[in-house]
Amino acid sequence: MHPLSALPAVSASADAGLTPHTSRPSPPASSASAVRRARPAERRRAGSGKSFQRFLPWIAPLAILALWQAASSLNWVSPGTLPPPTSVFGAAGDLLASGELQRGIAVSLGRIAAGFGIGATLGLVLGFLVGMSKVAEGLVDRTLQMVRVVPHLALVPLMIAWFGIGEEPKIILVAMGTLFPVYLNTVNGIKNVDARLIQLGQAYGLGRWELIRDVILMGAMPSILTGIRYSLGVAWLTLVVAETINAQDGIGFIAQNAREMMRNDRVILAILIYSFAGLLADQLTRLVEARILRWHTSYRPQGDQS
Amino acid sequence: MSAAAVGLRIEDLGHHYGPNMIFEQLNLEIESGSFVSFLGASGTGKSTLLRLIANLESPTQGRVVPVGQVDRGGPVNVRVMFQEDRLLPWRTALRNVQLGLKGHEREALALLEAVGLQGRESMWPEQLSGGQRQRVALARALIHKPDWLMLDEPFGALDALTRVTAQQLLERLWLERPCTVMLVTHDVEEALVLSDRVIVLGEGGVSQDIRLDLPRPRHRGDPLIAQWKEKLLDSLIH
Repeated sequence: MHPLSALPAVSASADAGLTPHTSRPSPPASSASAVRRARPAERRRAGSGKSFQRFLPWIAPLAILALWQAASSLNWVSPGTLPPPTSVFGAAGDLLASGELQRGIAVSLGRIAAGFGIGATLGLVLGFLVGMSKVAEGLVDRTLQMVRVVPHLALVPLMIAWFGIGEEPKIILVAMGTLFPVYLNTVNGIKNVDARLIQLGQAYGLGRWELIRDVILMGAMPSILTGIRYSLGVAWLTLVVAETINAQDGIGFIAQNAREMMRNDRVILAILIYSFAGLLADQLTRLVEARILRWHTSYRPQGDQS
Repeated sequence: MSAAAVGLRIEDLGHHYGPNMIFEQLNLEIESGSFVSFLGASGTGKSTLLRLIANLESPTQGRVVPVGQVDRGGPVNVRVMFQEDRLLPWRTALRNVQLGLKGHEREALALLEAVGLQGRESMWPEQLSGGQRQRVALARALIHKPDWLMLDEPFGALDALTRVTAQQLLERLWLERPCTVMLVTHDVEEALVLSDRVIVLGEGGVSQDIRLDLPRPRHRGDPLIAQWKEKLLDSLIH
């Protein structure tokens, strides 16, 4: 039997929860048939209300885009200072045609992947050790907490002095930026796993490895994923700074190079690409969260019973 | 009741938490396959006794000895159920019952059906009600075919109606599956309806030991139960 069929009450309330903000006209309650006849109309009105609601968040961005275009078309601002959206799209076309844009994005993505990979892995491993063992906590935690108070972007001059304009400073900076959020949230997640569940796992004969995998890591997962999502944001932020100050390629280089050539359209394009990349990364982790934490009410879409 | 079940003997058991003596020189014998309840005011050590028997804690003095044949050659198979269900929230009902087992899906499904949860096996604990979650926890305990089933106020957090249903379910399952059940409860009626024997713990040890030889399944309205309930409540209050 499908679990849905066993729970009519729950799915009904979930249905109601899907349209919480639509204005629902009260159906005429004079007779049962009148109520029944009123329903399709109600549903249609609620439906159009929903698509209108979906449109709501787009009004402000579209208005800004129109205003932006108008600002240069009507010569309120010189197009050299603030190029209109059309020039930005044009710049995107040019850079795509020459292949510079793809290369830049690929290089920047590579740096994020390497830096985030190293930082998050270190954060996870150290966080796991410190969360699990008092000895590791004694050895590692104080030092990490001390390093943590150093703003990692303050190291940019030192990194340049040591590594010049190679890949290392960017990757190290991104790794440093991502390490701490993952580390702190992993430690926190592991320490806050319900001790009664661990006791239960032991009582039910779980081995050490099973206990770690099935109870401790799963219990710490919401916190770990929060750390990962946060650190991805930090990773992009760090990359922007690192690439803008010193790079020969990547999105930041495109922006920097364009500034020197007074091509503000390309500068704005680079900024937009950074924003979209950050947004995309965030959405991606949300998808992963929704999958891994599907047992958790707040991550489960309403009405999904399985 | 059954040759397969294992009883136990408590010998000179004593337990202290720091300077606080919970009980001393406790001696009890619990027959194999019987259903025994422990009643008593708070602080008389009911739960502690259960934890000592289940070996979740070591006693300061004395010991607990299994009586009867412990098959499989191993130690006594003890399963504990608590007031909180302690289900793993990231496992479905079915996978919670399978905790600590490799496979055994068919048995797990059969047990979920036995506790009245057929069709809910793929639901997350969060999607189940309190009573349903405790039934999953009961299935999880029973799948191991325990010699001793230890219940520490398992229905204490349930509403009155759900509790009655859960008690009837427990009685039925115990009648079908021989094991020695030890139940700690605050609920005098629960103890009387379910048990062959009600042991009341008082200051430093057993204050009453009552044997109830009533036919099963028991009925709440049985006049003998009503009589005992009044007597016990009286003695617990004073």
